[in-house]
Amino acid sequence: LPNVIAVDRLRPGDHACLSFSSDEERWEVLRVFAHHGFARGEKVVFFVDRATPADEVTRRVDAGKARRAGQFVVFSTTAWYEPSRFNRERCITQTRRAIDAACEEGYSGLRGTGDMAWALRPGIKLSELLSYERAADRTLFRDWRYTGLCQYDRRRFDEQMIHTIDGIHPVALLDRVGALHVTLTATGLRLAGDCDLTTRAELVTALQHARKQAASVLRLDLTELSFLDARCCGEILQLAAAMHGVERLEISCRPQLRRVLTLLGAASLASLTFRGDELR
Amino acid sequence: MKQSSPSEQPDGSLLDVEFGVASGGTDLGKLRQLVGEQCTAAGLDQARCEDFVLAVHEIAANAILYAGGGGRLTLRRTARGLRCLISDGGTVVHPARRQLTSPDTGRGLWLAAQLADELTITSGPDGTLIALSVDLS
Repeated sequence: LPNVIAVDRLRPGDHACLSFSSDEERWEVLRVFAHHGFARGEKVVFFVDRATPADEVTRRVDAGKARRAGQFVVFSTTAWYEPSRFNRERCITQTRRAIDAACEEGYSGLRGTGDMAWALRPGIKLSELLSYERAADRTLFRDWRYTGLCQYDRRRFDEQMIHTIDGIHPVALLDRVGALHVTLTATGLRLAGDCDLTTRAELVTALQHARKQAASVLRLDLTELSFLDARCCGEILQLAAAMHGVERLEISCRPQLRRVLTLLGAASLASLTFRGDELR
Repeated sequence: MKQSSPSEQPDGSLLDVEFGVASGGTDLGKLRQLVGEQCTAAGLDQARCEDFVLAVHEIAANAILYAGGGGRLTLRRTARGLRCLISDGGTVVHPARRQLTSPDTGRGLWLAAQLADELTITSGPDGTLIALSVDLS
């Protein structure tokens, strides 16, 4: 199963999928995708269907300045994927050339995203799409110059198909900016996305559940977490404060979050330990 | 989402956003993204950017929870760095009293003051204005 993260945690070399069912939420994710690319000095390319004009894409992504500077480019999926008959190797070669070209232009890499609905058109077998995704995954991401995001509309691709497609992508994105994703692990919890007032109840439920399930040490993996506010920090510290006997809470997180938890009193809790900081 | 088109204004203004349910404005998750993007673009390094976004979030969250459901956020360049103003036009409750009545709110405000380079609070008849500054260097 893919590693679930929020769009702002994507890194060069990631091949991610976004399955969505709300256009508004999708465009918000794509806006963040584009702006993080701009901040990293990457060239950003969007592949969209013919019904969505480039000007509209630029407006939705708020990328007028980047487009004028040549850092943001919009292509039609028809022109890119099937100018004539879809050909897996041609698409991969084109993408590789685009990565090279972006780097030659002085960008740190290429960041591309496409609406994969083109693959539903008559004449393209789903097996061809899957074989393209697998081949792309094997070849395009190895040198950390490319960040690829494939968009799949859950209203158009069936559930089984989405499941198969998920399995090909090493990374799956949360479908909404600000959402929280909880994974129960053998020894505790792994969190991705945002913990704030809108997701705090989910966090509390997950922490309570994990404490019941865990052996003496509950491991909380926050390395992929995008945001944790003061109130949610408080929930985690309260959990540690309520632990007694052999119970311990072991947190893995980035240095910034460790500093915030320490400011809020983590150091005074004997039951709380930090695992070596994992820099990303 | 109500939002002006920022980075092209001449007076150093980077963002002017109404947030929260009361204004029908942008939600906190999007607000954090917008502030973070502007701070990164202005040259703030990642760790300081995350700290400042958290500080801004705590103040905006307080406005949503305790001052009428929302407010207005502006972000601008200053000679030293960036300055974020958050105003809520809700019921006037002095921040000092908020701290007394709700430990949660107090913690958010306290944390924001630790993370920003400067935090000032102005309370008036129309609401509360909090200014957060971060130095660029």
